[in-house]
This record gives sequence, C-alpha cells and structure tokens, in this order.
Amino acid sequence: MKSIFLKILIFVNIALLGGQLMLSFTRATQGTLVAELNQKTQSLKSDNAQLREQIYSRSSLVYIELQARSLALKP
Amino acid sequence: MKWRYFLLHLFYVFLVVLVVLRLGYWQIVKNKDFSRQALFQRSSYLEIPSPRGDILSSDSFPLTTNQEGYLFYVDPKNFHPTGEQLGKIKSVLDASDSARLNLAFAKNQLSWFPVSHHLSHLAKQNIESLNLKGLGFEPEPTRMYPEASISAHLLGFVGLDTNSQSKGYFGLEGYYDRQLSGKPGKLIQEKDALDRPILIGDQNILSPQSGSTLVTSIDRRLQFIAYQKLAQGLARYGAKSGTVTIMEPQTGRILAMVSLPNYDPGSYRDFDPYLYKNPTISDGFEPGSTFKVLMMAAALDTHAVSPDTICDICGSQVTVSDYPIKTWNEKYYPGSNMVEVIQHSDNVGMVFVSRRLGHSRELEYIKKFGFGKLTGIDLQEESSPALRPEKNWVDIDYATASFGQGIAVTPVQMVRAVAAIANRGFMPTPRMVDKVVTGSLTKNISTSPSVAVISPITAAQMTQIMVNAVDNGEAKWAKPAGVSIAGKTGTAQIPVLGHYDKDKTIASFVGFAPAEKPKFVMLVTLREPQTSPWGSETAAPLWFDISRDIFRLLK
Repeated sequence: MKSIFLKILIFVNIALLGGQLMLSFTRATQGTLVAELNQKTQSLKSDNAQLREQIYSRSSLVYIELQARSLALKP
Repeated sequence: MKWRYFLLHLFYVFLVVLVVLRLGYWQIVKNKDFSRQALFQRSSYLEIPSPRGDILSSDSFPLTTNQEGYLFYVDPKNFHPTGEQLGKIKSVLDASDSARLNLAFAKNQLSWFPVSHHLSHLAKQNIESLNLKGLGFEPEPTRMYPEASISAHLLGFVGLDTNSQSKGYFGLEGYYDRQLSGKPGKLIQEKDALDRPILIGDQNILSPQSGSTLVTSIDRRLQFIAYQKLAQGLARYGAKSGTVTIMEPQTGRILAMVSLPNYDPGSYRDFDPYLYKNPTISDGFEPGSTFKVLMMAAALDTHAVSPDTICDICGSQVTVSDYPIKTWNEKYYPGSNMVEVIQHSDNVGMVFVSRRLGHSRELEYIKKFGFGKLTGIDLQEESSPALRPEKNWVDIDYATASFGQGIAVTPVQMVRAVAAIANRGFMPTPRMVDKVVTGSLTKNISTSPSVAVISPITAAQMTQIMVNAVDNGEAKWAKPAGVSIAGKTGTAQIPVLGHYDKDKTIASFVGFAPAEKPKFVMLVTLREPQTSPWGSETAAPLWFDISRDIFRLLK
C-alpha cells in the first residue's frame, strides 16, 4: 500500500514537473513570437510612414509643378 | 515585594502598548505615504511622447505633418571609421552636419556627440548598413512640409522650449500649440534593485493623446498661385518684399496668405529671426490711396457727400496748416464728382471729403473699420499699429489720413476693412481654422458675427465707384476682360526718420471680384518696387495676374 502511494506521488511529481516545463517552454516561445510580431508591427508602421511621406511629397503642388517643368509643359 | 513586581509588569505592558501604538501609526495613519514612497522607489516612469497634430488645407491635404526623424550621434571614443566609411556617412548628411562629424573626432574626451538632427529613415538605414561601432540614433519628432515653405508665415514652426520640450512658435503652430501638442503618455513599470523590469510586477500604461488636427480655410491652389506670382512679381518689379492676402468677404475665411521673403520652417534656425514674423498681421504700413475708398465710404454713409457731389477745391493744390496738398501727378480736375475723385485718386478731392466728413466722424469711421486694434485672427504674434489719441490729431493729420498717409495699418486690417464694402457693409473677423479634429470628434469653429460698419446702400455705391476706378483709372490697361472688378491702387511714401523718402514707396492694390457677387477680396503690397514707384504699374498688374488664375479655378 505504502509503495503504491509512493509511486503515485513520484508520478504526480514527474507529471507536474513535465507540465511546468511545457508551460515554461510555451510561454517562452510565445514571448519570442510577441517580440517578433512587435518588431514586424514597428517595421510595417515605419514603412507605412515612409509611403505616406512619399505620397504627400509627390502630391504636393510644388512637386507637380517641378515635374511639369521638367517635361517642358507650360501653364 | 509584590508591588515592585507589579510595577515592573506595568512598565513592560506600557512599553508593549507604545510599540503597538507606533506600529499602528505607521501601518494605519502613515500607510498611504509609505506605500507611495515604496512604489516610487521600485517604479520607473517613462514619458511616451504624443504625436503633434497635423495642419491641413481646406481640401484636407497636409500643410504640415509628422515625419519619422532621428537624432544621429556618435561616441567619439569608440567611433573609428575608415576613410571610405566616413565618406559614405557624409554623403547622406548635409554640409553643416558633415562639418560637425569632423568636429566629433576632436571631441574624443566625450562619450556622446550629436551630429545631425531630423535625419531621415533612409539616411539612417544607409548609415546603419555600414555596421560601425560608436554611433547611434534616437527617434526625434520632426515636422514635414509637403508644400515646402509656401505657407511658412501662416504655419510658424516647432522648436524647443526652455525644458527642451517641443513647442510651436508663430502662426498656427504658436496660436494652437496647446491643441496641437496633445498629452504625452506615461509608462509606469516596477523594477528591481538593479533597475531591471520585474515581469510579474505592476505595469501601467497611460496612452498618449495625439494632438488635434487643424483643418484650415487655406485653399492650397490659391496659396500656391499667390506664392508663385508674388515671387515672380518681386523679381519683375525689383521689390524688396511683398504680401498677398486673399479673404472670403462673407465669412472672413483666409483663402491664401503669402509673404516674401520667407523662411523654411523645417530649418528655421538657418534663417534670420526677423523673418519669423508674419508681415501680413504684424507689419504696419501707410496704405496710401487704397485708404481713400474707406474714407469715401464713411462720407457717403454719413451723407456728407453723394456720388454726384462736386468738389469745389479740386482745380488746384490746397494748403492745410501751411502744408501744400497736391495730386500724385500734379494734374488737377476742377469740378470732379466723388466718382471721379476716386477714379483720378485725387488727394485734393479727398481733402474736400475729409472737410465735409468732419474730424470726429472721420476718426470714428477709422475706428469702426477696425484700425488701431487687433482683428482677432487666429495667428500668433498679431499686432496693430496704434492710433494716436484724438487730442493729438491736428488739421493736417485728418487731411493726410483721408488719402492714407500719416496712418499705419497692417495688410490684414486693410483686407478686412475692404471686405466690409464687398459684404454689404458687414465687416467679418478674419480666421484661419475651420475645424479642430480630436480623435473621432470634430469641432466646427463658428464664424464670429460680422460687424455693420456702413449701410448696404453705401456699400453698393462704393462698389460702383471702385468698379469705375478699375475700368477707367490708371491701371485699366492691366484689367482682365469679361469680369467686373472693384478695386483701388495705392502708392504710399515710406516715412524715414520723420520724413517721407520720395524714392521709397509701398505700392498696393486692394479689390474684390466679381464686383456684383464677390468671391474674394485680395490685397497685394510691394515694398520699394524699383521699376516704377506706382501701385498702378506694379501691384495692380500683379493683382490682376493672380485674379486671372483665381477666376479660372473658381469657375
């Protein structure tokens, strides 16, 4: 009776340890994933800002006039 | 013996009570203070900057917006690039920053030396690709001006205050600084004794509130046209400086406002600070003959004269307080009526009008037209030339004021006053911002009620007189065909050390169109034109040139 109880106790301990390891591993990889996603978000935000700046620059009347002049267009 | 034991027992009980009371004081009474101190010791505060709001034109195109920018710094002790690498870094920097980079090598006792502000993302990437040690970047808020510096004076710029925080100066950036700035956020994080974040500890983020976006009344097409034409006009007439102001007379909305020379708000430090002020709202000038339309309107409004009244002193020069008053070209038109007085821009005729109007009424109308006080335009640094107190006015002052000399006004004051004639006698309050957008909330800025200055009948009479002045006056040759324009030229000598300099003038033209249903009022001023001193030969052709393009757009 005593040895069965001991075996169960060891099994439960090992199972708990395994569970803890799995949980830690999952959390750790999720953290990396979150960090990667954050980095991607930042990169996309930066690209978006770059594109926005280019759109504004190229839609400005000053730029359009310069382009028109370079194409020898006259008002 | 027993009582001694009892006393000792009592003493210990007393001590215990004292300790309990002290603990109670710390735990209960001082609980909040100690908790706050403990939190302060283990927490770190980080300010999250709030993005500054954009300033948009009436078609929602940004006149200024935010851009990703970086502060580029080096650690001189650890910065050892090869000649080729140094050349590559310098190729993405401008001349002054390249010079600063050279200076960094001489500062090898420092561990941080700023090289370049507002570096672009692309330039940062180019430098980073060299994989060098001893350099770094810090994000830095940067303003971007897609339409370059064409709106410099009305936008103002963003600089740093005494606490090194971003702050708007001049123009809209200065006037609406609080709304544009927003509220910075805070990151509160628990840290251990070695200043490392405690992952399971408390972490509070107070998100930053972005600054509000301003939607202005500026029509960027008109702004661009005004800028281009003014630049051409300054070159063509050899003028030192100039302004163009275009307003919607019914509402006071400013459609365009340009002054030259100007500065680049993105690199304002490279320019002389005297250029920062917007001359349209802060520089006083003597309006010259453009002021005649206002004094004539006052005389018509008070029935001191009618359009058919004959000027009985217009045949020759007149003398007021021993000063001879002549016409601008020394030609005299005896028997002129009031329509012809404006058509010939007759100074003697205006002395006649001034005498009919009377001193107190003349000064009253100068004040009613808003001179001597601020217009209330929503731009920082507006100033108004002061009017002399009534007791200091003498005969000659009233006479010269009637033809716009001896009195100073700002361009925006002049445009607003003439807008009263265009708007059936009601003078609007000029303004720049139509809407303030904060997140999903849009606040429409209501127009201030217009002030009745002259009667609608007077305004209609004055409009006809001004149409006649354009059709038959000195500048009729430059007028665009097929449209009725009400306007008046002006040429004022510039006072220098208490005297007027004959060779230095301010040429101007003010008017509105179409005369029967005005869509805009515009004032053009040119300081010290060289090709001709007269407004009819400089400012008026420029006014008509700009108006041709406006008509094409507003059709």
